[in-house]
Amino acid sequence: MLRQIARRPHTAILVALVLAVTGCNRQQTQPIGARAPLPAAADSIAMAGAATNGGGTRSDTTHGEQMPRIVPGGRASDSAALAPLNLTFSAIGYRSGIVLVGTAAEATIAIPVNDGLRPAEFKFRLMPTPRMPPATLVLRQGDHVLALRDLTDTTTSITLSLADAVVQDGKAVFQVGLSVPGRDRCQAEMFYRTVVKPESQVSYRDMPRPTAAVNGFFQPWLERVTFYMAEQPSADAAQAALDAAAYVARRYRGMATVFEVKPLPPVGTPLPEPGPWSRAVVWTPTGSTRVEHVDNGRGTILAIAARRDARQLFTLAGGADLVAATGFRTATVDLGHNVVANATLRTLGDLGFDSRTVEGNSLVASSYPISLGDFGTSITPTSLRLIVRHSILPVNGGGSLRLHLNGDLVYSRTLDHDGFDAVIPIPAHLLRRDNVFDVRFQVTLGEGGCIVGGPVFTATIDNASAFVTNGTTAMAPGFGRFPQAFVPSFSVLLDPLDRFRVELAASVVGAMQQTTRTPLAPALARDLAAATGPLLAIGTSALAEALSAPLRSDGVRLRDLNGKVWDEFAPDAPYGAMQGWVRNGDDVLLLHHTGASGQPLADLLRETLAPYGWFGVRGDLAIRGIQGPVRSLTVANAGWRLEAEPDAPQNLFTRYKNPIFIAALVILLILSIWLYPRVVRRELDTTG
Amino acid sequence: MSSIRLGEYLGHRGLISEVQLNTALQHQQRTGERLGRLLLILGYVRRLDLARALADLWQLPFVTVEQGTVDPRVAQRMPLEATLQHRAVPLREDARSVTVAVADSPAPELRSILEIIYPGKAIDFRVTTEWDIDRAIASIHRRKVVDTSIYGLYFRDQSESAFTVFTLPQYLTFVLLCLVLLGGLWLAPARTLLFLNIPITAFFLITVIFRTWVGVAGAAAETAISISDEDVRALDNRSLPVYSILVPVFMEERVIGTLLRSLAELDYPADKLDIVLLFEENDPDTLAAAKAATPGANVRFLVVPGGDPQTKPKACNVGLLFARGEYLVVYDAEDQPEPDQLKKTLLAFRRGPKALVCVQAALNYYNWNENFLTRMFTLEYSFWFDYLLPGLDRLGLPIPLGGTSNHFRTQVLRELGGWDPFNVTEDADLGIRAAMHGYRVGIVNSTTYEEANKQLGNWLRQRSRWIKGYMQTALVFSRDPYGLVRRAGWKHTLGFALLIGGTPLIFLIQPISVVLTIVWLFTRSSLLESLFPPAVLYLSLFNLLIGNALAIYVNMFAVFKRKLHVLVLFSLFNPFYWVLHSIASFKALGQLFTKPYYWEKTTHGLTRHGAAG
Repeated sequence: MLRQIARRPHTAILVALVLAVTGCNRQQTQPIGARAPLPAAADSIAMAGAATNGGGTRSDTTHGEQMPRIVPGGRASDSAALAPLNLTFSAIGYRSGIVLVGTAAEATIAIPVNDGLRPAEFKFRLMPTPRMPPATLVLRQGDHVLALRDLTDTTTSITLSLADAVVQDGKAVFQVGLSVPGRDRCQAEMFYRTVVKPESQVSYRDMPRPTAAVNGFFQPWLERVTFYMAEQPSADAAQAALDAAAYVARRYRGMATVFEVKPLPPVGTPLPEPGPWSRAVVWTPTGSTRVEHVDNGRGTILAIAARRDARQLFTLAGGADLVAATGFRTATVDLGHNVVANATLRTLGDLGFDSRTVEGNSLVASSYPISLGDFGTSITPTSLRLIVRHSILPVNGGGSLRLHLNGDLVYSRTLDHDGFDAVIPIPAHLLRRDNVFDVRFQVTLGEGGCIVGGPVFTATIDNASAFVTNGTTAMAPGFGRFPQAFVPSFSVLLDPLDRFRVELAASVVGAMQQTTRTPLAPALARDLAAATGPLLAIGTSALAEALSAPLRSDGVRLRDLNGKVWDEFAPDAPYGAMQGWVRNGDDVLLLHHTGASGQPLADLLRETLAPYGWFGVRGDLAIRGIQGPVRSLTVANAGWRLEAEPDAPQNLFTRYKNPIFIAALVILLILSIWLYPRVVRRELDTTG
Repeated sequence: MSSIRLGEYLGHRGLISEVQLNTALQHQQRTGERLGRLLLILGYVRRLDLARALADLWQLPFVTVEQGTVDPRVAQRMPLEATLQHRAVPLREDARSVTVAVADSPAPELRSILEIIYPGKAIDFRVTTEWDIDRAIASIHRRKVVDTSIYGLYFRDQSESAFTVFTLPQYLTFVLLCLVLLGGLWLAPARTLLFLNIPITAFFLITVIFRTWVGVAGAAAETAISISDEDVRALDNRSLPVYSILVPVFMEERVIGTLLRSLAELDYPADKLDIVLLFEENDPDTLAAAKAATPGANVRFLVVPGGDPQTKPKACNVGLLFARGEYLVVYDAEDQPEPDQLKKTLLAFRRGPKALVCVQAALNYYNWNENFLTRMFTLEYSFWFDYLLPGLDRLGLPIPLGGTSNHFRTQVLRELGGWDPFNVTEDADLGIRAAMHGYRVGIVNSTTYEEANKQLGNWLRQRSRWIKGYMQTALVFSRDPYGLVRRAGWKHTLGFALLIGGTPLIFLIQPISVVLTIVWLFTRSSLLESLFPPAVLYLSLFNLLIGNALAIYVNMFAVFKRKLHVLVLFSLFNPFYWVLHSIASFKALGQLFTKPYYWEKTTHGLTRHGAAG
């Protein structure tokens, strides 16, 4: 590396600058979002001076937050437990399937394995390249080959036994490889692709073990997590639900696990214990935080009695692991929040990537999906220090490295010797909320390099590679700023505070959490005055008015520069809207609805997040009427003009409908009576 | 008594010369009219002198009938009908006799009637002038004349009179519909408006198709009864019947002179014309202007007794009472009929079916090129009289008569009850009534030229009256829908509904459609979308684009028969002209409830143009 630096003075200068900046910044730790709510702010909403119960602080209670009677799930639950579990690849995070490229391709598959279960078999649904020569599919765990199968260009399904698979920490990791013998390897990389389709399945055998302790409550795979709270929940319950939403999104990232917020059943109505693949979290400050076991049930209900317990479980890294019992027994856990500080260097390791080794004969690539939210509020990476070790290229061979950011080439260099350590500037204008960095090696291994058994190019991308994150390039206003603007913490204002709005907020938090590895830390604010920093607000048009949102009138017209009206919502036509803007220097994401019913807003959120979650959210305004569909657009700096629709006559009509009609009725009746002798029963004029 | 004797007597008295006598006798040979009337028409003898001469010849005393010479109680014992029929007015009575004034030689039938009315008394006849007789009848039977002219139709058949604007069932239905509409708007405004919009849109479409169909039929029909000039020339004047011309005039002092000149130009024996000018009591100026114009002896002045409603049909009814002609025509004060119109009409009657009760001549305007309004009016009239009415005639549909130049068989007109004085388009009403009674109305190829309204206010007054009259007519004939269908048949009923009921309705609805279209064009408001689901929207679009284009296109026909080709482009302005119709319609609707019989007077004599050539 030193030789390399010596050969390229400008690289040396860059490295020096980076090191200097890094060194300087090591001395100062930026405050975690100067205006953002501190993690402890979420605790401030709890009632002060509450007695301790178990490990937690007793929380405030509202009417109806009583632990319902739990009844066993019954036969349906048992049937579900006894039935073999089959999970599709898309459900466990492989939504695009797995692509094996070339003649000696290999990919890693990690599957979740719940307690008591054992992997039984893979049922691969395959899509090989037509006219691909017969090949061999290899399934192994490390050096342990589990299965070998023939694969031709007509093979569409292969079943592989996982009888001898090793499960570690609730997870089984497999390597699936494909070898196509006797062919030009260089060409093969160009032409041969075998796709393991997302509808492929993994099946399990045996029965899930009932949950014995809190640390086993959230098993590696769950189909559904339901948070039960009162319709008018306490602030602590709402805060716990938001934390749980973020937690579930983090823990089951990429998986099809659903998080939902439901009302507690009415008093006297029992709550059935969920089946083995679902979990219920019940906010009930009347007892203690514990896993409920009813009649030796499966322990799929977790009662949470205190805000502090919820914090430990849902926000503290590994917090649940500290409770290896059915309930909280100690209050000594340090609740220092695991919010990631805004460091000036963020390694790939920090971002959750291991070092990666790739092999190939011509084109070898590796992708890194990076969300700006991974770096912190208003912080953007300015350069990437890429550390690569690779095999030595043959004398008559050659190679190059290309770095693509969201498809655009941002850097290239020739490969020489056995590696490099380069600082690559990142053009700010190419950065988006969700980015893909592609590291591509293009090698020519010289004569014989393409023959099976010939030399193979191998490169390792070190996870010490790091992004330098001292940029403060402002993102375009709108939804693109989220969740970056919410990292690491943000205020949540629900007006009014009810289960419906908690559910909407939980959906937003969960969807955002899916896009970033950085834990999101929502802090529920009691009112607007208490909300500091970036804000997620959900309410009615009164809240929009209080926040001076760009769109806050009951009726609205959207005009272009020429004054043409493209869309219109009459004042009496309720709508739901989501809008993002900067208010007093802080980002605000507001979801509000006009009219009495919040249904347009719920529909808006559901349709906006389907099917790609927060990844699919664009623009700075999404609006939906009762009939739909959702209109998503960029209003700011795009030539659009939002103008409040004045009280149109029809709105006045709606407002004064009854008096108007009563008056009309009275007038009609009076006129009918007055006109009757004039037009019906006329008297003859007998005066001559 | 022979005519020679009258001539000799007058000559002997030095009242006429021999040349005048010979001239009158020549006329008599051509027309067969009585000599006395001929001498009077020719202006050779004064009415008073003639009456005195006849009194001498009949050996009866002459009397001047003045206000004090008539005992009303005695006169009123003789029924009005008999008085009018025999033109005899009982003046007074004593213990032995009753004195009766006559303008004609007393017939035995008259004597018999008088003997019945005044039993046991000797009849003492006196001779006087026709004018004195008419004036005395109008004065003595004033109440009866007024009642007959106003309530004649009402007493004859209440169901055919517009005296009652709404019958109770009609009124209740109307109020109920208003209540249902109000309730619908209250409970489900969008759906109610949609349900309202569907029939409206369909009605637009049907009306457009109907009018186009009738217009095309009219274009193919030319005129129903075509009378050539040769036919007219072939007529023997001796065979011509007496023809009454009723001209109601009110505040027409400016045009009365022109009117009398136009009537004098009619190609019809003057001695067989019975021209009755109908004046209103409260209009002495027009009467004075008429007297100053020194009309011929065949012109009678009748002052219509006052009393509401003071309408043209009431005046016409008075005229009808006094009319002596076998046929009768009504002209307006500003009318200029083609000279041969009466003869053409007579031939039309003779050639037409027995049921032909009325022949309508076309109307058009001599001041058509005066301004935009007169051009549009001319286009409209040309289409109406040259295409639409002939089309209705050809298709056998009821024909609403035009305001003037409708010629009747007098007796049948009396049987039909005359005009409805409470209906402000009494002519249209009469045409429909005739059709409903099984009579036919025909169209003849002759034109009467009128003065087109050139002032907007005047136009709106006239048009609002017409539309109000159409509303009244529609209400009158829809009182018993089942009876109407039973009597007139489906075809007549539908034709009536679309033409008489549909015309005001279209103009009332049209502004709503126009406003909705404009609102949508400028606002693209989504609120309107609910009123126009795809099927209704396409139908509305068809009406807007094709329907209006068709209406304009058929209006373009109008210019061809009259060779007014310069007006073709003006057809394109019809949408603006229709807006004026709509304004008039709303005014008419308001008046229907508040002043149903009010006669919006049209002012004539505003044009700078002369009469048609």
